[in-house]
Amino acid sequence: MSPEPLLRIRDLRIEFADDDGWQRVVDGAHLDVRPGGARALVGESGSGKTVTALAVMGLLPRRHSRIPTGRIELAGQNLLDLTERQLRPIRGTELAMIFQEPMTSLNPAYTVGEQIAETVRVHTGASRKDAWRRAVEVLGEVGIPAAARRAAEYPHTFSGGMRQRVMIAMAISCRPKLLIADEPTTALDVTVQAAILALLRELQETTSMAVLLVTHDLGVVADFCDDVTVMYAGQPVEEADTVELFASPRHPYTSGLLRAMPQSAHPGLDLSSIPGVVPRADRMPPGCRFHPRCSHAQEGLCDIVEPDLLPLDGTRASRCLRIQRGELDELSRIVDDRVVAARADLDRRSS
Amino acid sequence: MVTIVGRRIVAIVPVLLIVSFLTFSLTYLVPGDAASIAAGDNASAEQIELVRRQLGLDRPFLAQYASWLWHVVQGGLGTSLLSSRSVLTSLTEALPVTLSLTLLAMLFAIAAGLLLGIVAGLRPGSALDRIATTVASLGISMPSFWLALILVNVVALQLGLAPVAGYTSIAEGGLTGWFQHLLLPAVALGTITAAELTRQTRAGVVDVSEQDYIRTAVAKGLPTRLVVVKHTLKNAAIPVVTVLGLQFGGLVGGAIVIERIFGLPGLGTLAIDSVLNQDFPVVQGLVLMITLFVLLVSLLVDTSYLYFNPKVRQS
Repeated sequence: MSPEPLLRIRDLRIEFADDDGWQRVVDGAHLDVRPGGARALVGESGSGKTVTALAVMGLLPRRHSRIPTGRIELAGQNLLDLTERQLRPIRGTELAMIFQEPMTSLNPAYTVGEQIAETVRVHTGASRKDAWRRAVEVLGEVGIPAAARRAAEYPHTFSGGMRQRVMIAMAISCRPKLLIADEPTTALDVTVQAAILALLRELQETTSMAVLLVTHDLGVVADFCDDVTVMYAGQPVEEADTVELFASPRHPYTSGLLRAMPQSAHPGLDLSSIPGVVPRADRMPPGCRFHPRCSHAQEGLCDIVEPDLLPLDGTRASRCLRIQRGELDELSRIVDDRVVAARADLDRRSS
Repeated sequence: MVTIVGRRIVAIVPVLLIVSFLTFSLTYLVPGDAASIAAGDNASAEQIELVRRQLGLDRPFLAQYASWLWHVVQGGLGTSLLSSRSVLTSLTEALPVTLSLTLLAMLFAIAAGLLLGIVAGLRPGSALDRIATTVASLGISMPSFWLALILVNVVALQLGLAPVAGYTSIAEGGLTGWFQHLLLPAVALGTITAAELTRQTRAGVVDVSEQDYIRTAVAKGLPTRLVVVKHTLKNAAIPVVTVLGLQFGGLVGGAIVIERIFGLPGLGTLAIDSVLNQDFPVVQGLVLMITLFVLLVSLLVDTSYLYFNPKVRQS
């Protein structure tokens, strides 16, 4: 993968304390985001994707979590080596994050303009007046109508979609190199979701800001991202270019997720789903963590041997033992109109 | 916003009316006869009757209340049955002492309560938190008169760091003298409020710290000081301010005991003297004045909600 990635996560382990001791919720996260690129981090609830994203920001609860091993490098610098005080100037300027819940992510006691302007003041030392002007400017950039007037209003006067726009404005106010978007559209109406994604995509293209999109919705991924990392039970199980992933998944879990997309349903047939749930961190099955739910699991192999994430051809990697052995060629695949559109768009951009 | 405050001010009037009626009737329900008190110890039955007529105490109850209220509205609270001095004069003499005392007690409570509450709330479960919570529990369960006696004994008598009793106004003793005389009484009086504020502040800080918008504030790279003072405290403030307002009534009540112990010539001392001597006009004036102050403080608290919670401003 060239050029040098902006964000590089290697062998990241994250543990949370509970009554029985430390539970490893992320076990060997592995991820690259290219400068200006868009990477999706996909998985079900409990797969460790949000925790990984919070770890990049240094936002894990300090008293109840720890990172025993791993590296999170931003432009070559290991963020895990930094103290809270050293991390602070990086947050907001190089790294920014928006969250799943726009309704509760803004402080109800301050105007939205002030919440953006204070970020600008803290990081650039701008005067109140200049910072306010910048706040109005970014509110306009994210599509808030009458930004100058709305900046002086409080969050409760904004709808969910508008609040997420405000969050995005706040995040981009100091022109970060990487925006982490944790399920940014999950809490929003479907019509608003598309608009927010279009906005993120537009900002990514015009400002050459890289985006790490954390989501459980592969439909969103097809719309937006160049590369995908699929996580399961705290581990990455597949890495691929978006179009390739949709065209031919190289892990049964990815294939299951694709088939579970509403877009891939056939009229009159039930929606497909993956049986079972993600195992708890303290009850990980032996062998491949996905094998109890996998229709391709082979007795004597998948329930014994612990697989690694290994590179396949070129840019792809998979954690599936049977894929690695070349035993599974054709996993069910999806080619819906979104993928076709994404592929066309990718071609247009690269040409 | 102006209409909200205006409506609150108008709402004070009926409360004052009810309180005035209750206090006025109360003096008639307690045993004792105002006329015989006013006439003195060795008065004959005729003399008492004469005084009764002079004071208008022979008229029907409601007529008496109406004329008393009429005087009150005009600013007259009558004269003391004992000293024949104007009640208003006695009150205005005593008021600065009690105001100084409660104000200092309040300041002490706010400073100590916020500090301990924030320190405890930012790291729940830590050693500092446990110390602060224990101190708060002690402060709430310690009677203020007992704490006052301990303070007098240790700080004033043994260490000699403060006067044992008495009051000096700023005009007489300057700011230092005034402060020295009020320090121990204010600490004794304010400790319960400080403890209550510690608990409220801690609970508020713990609760607000877990909110998503605090994570947002950290995520955008704000220094801890800003996250705590600006983003956490303003949202944690409403219950704290509410408790502070409620505690004000308690402080005035506590001041009666504390003033007695430290020999401060404030409203509390006046209250005890007038109650023991059944000096009804003074008691009535006192109750009215204290009610007015408590209502004003709660008006202030309600107004502060407008600042702390923007949603209130629009409704």
